[in-house]
Amino acid sequence: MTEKNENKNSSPLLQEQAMKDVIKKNEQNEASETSQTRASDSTTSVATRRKLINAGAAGAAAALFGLVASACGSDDDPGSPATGGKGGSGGSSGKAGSGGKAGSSATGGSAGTAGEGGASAGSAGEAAGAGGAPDVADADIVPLNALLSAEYNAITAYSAGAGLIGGATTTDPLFALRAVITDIAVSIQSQHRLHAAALVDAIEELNGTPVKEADVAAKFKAPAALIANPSISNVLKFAAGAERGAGVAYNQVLAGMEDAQLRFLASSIEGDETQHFIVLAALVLGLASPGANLSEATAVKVFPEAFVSTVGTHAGLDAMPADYFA
Amino acid sequence: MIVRAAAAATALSLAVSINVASRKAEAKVNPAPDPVKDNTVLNALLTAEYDAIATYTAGAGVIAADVGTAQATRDIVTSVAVHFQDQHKQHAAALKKLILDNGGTPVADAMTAKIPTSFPSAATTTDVMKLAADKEKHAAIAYVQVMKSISTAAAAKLVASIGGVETQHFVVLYLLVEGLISANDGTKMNPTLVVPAAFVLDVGGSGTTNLETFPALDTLLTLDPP
Repeated sequence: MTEKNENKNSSPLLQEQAMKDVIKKNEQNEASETSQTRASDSTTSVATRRKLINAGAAGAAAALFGLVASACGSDDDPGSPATGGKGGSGGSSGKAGSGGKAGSSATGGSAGTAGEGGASAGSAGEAAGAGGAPDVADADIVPLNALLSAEYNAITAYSAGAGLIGGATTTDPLFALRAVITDIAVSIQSQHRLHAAALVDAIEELNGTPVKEADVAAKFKAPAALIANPSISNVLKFAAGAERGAGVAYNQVLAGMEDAQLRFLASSIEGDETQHFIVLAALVLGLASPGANLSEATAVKVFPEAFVSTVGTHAGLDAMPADYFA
Repeated sequence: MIVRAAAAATALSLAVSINVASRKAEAKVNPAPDPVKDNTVLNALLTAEYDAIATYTAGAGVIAADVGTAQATRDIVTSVAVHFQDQHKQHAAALKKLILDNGGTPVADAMTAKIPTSFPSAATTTDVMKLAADKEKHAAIAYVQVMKSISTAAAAKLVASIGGVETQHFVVLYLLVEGLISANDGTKMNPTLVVPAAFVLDVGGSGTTNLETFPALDTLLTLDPP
């Protein structure tokens, strides 16, 4: 941890209160939006609203980044905020709620998840602001870059997860399913790549500078709890927790976005993340079993499209699958 | 120590983000917040929720009469369907509340399911699941597409919070129909965990559940020790 950052964060309680204040302002602004914007929408109030909402969105996005990366933290490394302070033990595999809501990051086992993410989102902000954006940058660039960072982390995490599954021992209870589980993971990873591509396009259209995949991947570390017990079940739990957190964070971030088209994009991705979450969770928690038609050949059908609604050239569920009853 | 590091790191990131946003962001709220206009969209979504509720009711009747399907299968499908229907009721309640908060008037519940003409007269349990999958898919798409016209943060948050659950309903039903997953004893014992939360975020309302805060899910997804 650098001296500079130690000073900045010398009082966690104060920092937490500061985050709560920002979120509270954001919520107050949502409330005032309902009561104050019906009749008029003055420039001043819009500017104030924009600043507050963006601040909240950025915080949520930061937490999302933390969530995915976090679970990749290690509790045996003190880390630092500047370079990616480490998360906890990965206890809750990325608890969605506290991950997304930065102000509640000090709750339970998931608190650690915000650690690495915080610093990472900081770099996302730098990329949007100082890393080549125009003098007057669009307010949506920062949250978009935080989401992009999270997607890159997910891509890296799935590669790592696939490696762990490939190395599973014959005594692993899910060993017989390792091939099809890997294929599903690869399919999910390919969808995260499509999400990332769409986010890059959106950032560049705003004249922003997208964060680089290599920079994000370089900071990735598998969570200590997963390394300690790299069972297929743990890989699935980790992935399910991260997808849950991603869905939550996309929801939080999009509410603070300024442009409806970008809300549309984020929402179209969010609905894919929640699909990933529920299928992974159902399988690892024993709420459903692999079906008779599930095979390495059909694994790609589990998540039909990477987007809920078609975004540009990226197909959504409106393209496939077809209705059963027209 | 862990809590401290987490809070500190997140605070730093937040500070950086706020600084960037405040220093360089330009005003661009598009469309301008207009809760009254949002009500038209919200009422269309409410109509769809009422249709979903009625469809599940009609579907339960079909399943009950489907003696050609094993009773155990029908029981599991019914229990999951009832759970999904309950979540749609929560969606409807939340939409109604926001419409009222916006000064609007919620549409009335037609209490009638819109059944496509191609739906067989002698429908099976699988047909009901297919119909539900279709409806959930269309709902999920609609919740995303209306985001292009939703103007307020509050409406965007609610709409996305519901849409992200419709996608879960869809994918579960779709995978069951396609035989890519199958129900088991876990489904039978815990049908309400199949899609555990009615909303992605906490949108208020008594007795509602959300993915954001769900302690039981935290416990279930805790990594196993060596």
